[in-house]
Amino acid sequence: MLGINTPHVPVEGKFAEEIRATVRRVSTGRLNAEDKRRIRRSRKVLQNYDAVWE
Amino acid sequence: MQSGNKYRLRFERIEDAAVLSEFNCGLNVMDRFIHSGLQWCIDYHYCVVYAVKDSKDIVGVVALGCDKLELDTTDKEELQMGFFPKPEIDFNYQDTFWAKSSYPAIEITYLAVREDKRHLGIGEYIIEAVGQRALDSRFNLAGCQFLTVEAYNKGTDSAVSFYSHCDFIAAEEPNPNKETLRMYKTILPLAHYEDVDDE
Repeated sequence: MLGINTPHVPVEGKFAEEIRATVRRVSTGRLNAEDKRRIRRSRKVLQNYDAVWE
Repeated sequence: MQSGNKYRLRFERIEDAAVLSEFNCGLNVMDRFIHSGLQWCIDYHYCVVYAVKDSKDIVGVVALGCDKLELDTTDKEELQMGFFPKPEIDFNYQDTFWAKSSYPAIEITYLAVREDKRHLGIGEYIIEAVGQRALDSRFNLAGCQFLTVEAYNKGTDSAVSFYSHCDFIAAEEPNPNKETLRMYKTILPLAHYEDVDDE
């Protein structure tokens, strides 16, 4: 976050494993129920407005 | 301005933070930074800043920077040595999985919604729009798999619950000596998952 000192350290342990598992699921297309819920939610949120990038 | 039944939000890149002089999100620490520190970050290319506008006014500000999710490799070495069961990995992805220790990301370095426009879903829309923009092949300058954020995590102004609501996941345990919590969100290419039905 800008304006606040936020040192980054490598992600460790269960957090790193979750990221690897996510990358595996997305890259292989073997999504779990939570991934599918996130997809549905993203679609729903994107329906609310229309973005124009200028 | 409305487009069909949707309100249109324009993401306009800004080089001069003075256009935000009238913008206030209602959180003093953030407003002070927007009005006094953001220009410096633009000038030194720490981030790219977009003013998010409705038909006439700026309703939000989002600043984006390059980032990566870098993973500690100790546990992977332990996996390879067989201390833990090896994960099932698709054959085509095995080399990549074992070789990679970091994944490209875009960091939301600042996100604020105008005080009188909060709780209208604008913030979460901005996040989703940024994610899908990052995957849009017409604009890809570099690969990007995640959005990251250092979510402010102090007192009543904590943003962690907002980012959790937006499907960000903590990448670390909360640290009482750190003002923020590092979080990430997987960018899912929605167009690739048309088989995931709406419920």
